[in-house]
Amino acid sequence: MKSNSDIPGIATKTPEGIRSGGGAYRVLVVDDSMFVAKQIGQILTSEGFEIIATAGDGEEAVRKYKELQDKIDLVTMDITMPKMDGVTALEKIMEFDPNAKVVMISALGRQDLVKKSLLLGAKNYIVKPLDRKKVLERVVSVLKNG
Amino acid sequence: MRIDYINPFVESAFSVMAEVLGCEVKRGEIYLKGSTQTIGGIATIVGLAGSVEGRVLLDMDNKTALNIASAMNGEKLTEIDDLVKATITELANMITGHAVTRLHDLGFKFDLTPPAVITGENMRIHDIGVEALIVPMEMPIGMVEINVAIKERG
Amino acid sequence: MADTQQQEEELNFNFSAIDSEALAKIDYKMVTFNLAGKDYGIDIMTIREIARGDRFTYVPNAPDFVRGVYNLRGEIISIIDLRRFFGLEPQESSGPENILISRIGDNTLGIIVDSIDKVVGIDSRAIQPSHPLFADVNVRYIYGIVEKDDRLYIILDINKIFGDHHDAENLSAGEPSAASSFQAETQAAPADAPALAEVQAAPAAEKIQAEAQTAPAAEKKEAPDKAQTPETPYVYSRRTGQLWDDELVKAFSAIVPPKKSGYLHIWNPGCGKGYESYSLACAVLEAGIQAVPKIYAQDNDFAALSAAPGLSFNPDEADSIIKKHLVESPSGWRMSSEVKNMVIFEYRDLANKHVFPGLDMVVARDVVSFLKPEARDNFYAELKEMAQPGVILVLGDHEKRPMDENAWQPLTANGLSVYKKI
Repeated sequence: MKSNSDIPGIATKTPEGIRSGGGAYRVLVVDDSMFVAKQIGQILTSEGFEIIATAGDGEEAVRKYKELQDKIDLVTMDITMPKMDGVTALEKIMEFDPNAKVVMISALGRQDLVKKSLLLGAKNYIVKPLDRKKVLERVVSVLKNG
Repeated sequence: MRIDYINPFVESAFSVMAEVLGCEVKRGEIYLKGSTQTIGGIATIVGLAGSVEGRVLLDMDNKTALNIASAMNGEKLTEIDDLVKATITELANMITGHAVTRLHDLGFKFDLTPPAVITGENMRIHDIGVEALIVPMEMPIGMVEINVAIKERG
Repeated sequence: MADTQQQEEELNFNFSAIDSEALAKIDYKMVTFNLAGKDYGIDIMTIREIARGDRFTYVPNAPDFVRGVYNLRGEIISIIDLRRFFGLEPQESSGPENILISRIGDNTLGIIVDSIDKVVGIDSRAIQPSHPLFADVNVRYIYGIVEKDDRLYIILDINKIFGDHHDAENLSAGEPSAASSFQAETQAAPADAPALAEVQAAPAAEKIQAEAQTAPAAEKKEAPDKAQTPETPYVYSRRTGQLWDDELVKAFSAIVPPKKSGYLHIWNPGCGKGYESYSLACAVLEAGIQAVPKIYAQDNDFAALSAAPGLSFNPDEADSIIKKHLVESPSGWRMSSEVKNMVIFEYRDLANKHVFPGLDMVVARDVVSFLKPEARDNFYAELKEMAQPGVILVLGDHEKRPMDENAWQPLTANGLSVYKKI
């Protein structure tokens, strides 16, 4: 009878954050909470992702996206933020780059917000509290399927 | 406070805290207060807007705040610094967010505003012309009061 | 002079004295006093002595009816103003006050009244239950009513006064500091003590004193059982706890203010499970007014209130007008959504201030009579602030006029207790 340890190569798995060609996927994390930004950062970096930048409000998010556009593979976007909320920022980013990959992450799970975000171009919507498995699954699915 | 609003807040507080903190959570008897004298320590406020005017306050002493923040961050935190404040604020945000989501499904259109955090010992919060509903939540790591005041818009 | 003699004679009451009714006996004695033009009595067994004075040591954070504390030969007692306690118009005090020193168990309370009269002995069987119409005073404080020598005395339930005073103190105190503020104040008290120690003993007063102090020993065997306060039968309004019949619905429809635009704001405190609120909503619809009705149905009984939004009914028990508004659903017969949308059930403590978007009508049946002083005062304050001329107020069928008499005009309305703000 064969067991896992007898078959080489199965135990090691490539971290989800590394692309097939090598190099990490780079993420822009947008949230006004230092705790959430840290939490998302930890979940993603533990799987090999690179957090290229963070933003604390919608205005900063749009600005940084425009600055770093080519270097950003995915954006995580909170909804409730001062100055400019996440849905408005999403709209502006999609206007600027129709191919942007934005995943909404919010404490609000209101159906109307979910629909609005998806209609505006968000690729997925995650409701807090954050579950490591859930975050990784959804982020990976957005990156792989575009 | 409108009776329809009460259970969503009570249930959200319970489910979010149980999930996020991973410990036993017990709900104490709810009651009404005319003006609020906080427990002393940290309080975070999330505003409510839309068809109502109001706020949700999460109220606890410093020791409980540190215990909660430590549990949520997965590391032992010993000082009330920006990370602890941000963590407690996010807890309030999630509880309020979940309640607002549930209320939305029931037909009540509320919005959240970004939270604020205040620290201090003898804080008194005075809401004009509206009472606060207090939901005490008891856990092995400490006691937290959810304090909700909502006024209907004319 | 003649008066005093007469009083002395009465005070030196002899048990074997003449009584017109052969079988009547004196088994209850009360100290009588006057408050806002009415005669009251308190069981003599609870009165330790009477006093006069006016310099009380102020107590911070205490309810407004607490005038202060006083050092009675080393014992610190609270002094309450009975007019304020009952929510009556306070009197401008000119000089020393008349105080009944009352004691129950370990608790002593000084009670300020307008004037102290005499000791009156009665047959306890002659005590009648109170009717809310009789008194200015909340029914909860009334033990009963008795007539003697062409005078009507309202006998107060001193236990309730002690109890509510105790509760009110704890409520307003909130923080434990109230107890310590008492302590702090009492340290200062000795300096003020002399003021009240001047007990000006009028002849009658001395006699009452003597009576009061000897009474317990003499009267013990014959006094009625004080351990049980008899239930004062309160007469509730029609259809309390039930859906209204057509007659009551029509009576209400007739008094709904015919507002033509905007919202018709109706305040319905003490709504309980909601029968009254839903019935009221049907009555308002029946009146066919053009403004959009909004009924704020409030109660502090969370259990009863929780049942209200989902209340189901037996259609066979509903009279024709209300029956029109019932619809069948999987979970039983409920009010139609038209009716349900009109009523907002709120969990509310009347002692706390609450803001309304507007006020056109108040339906508070059998509520005010049961409120504790703080809640009652707040209720009247909110009413005063929010009610513009033209606002309609409905009290319980047997409740008396609102406190601020001059501001409310009684209307005759089919057996309802209705008033209009003027």
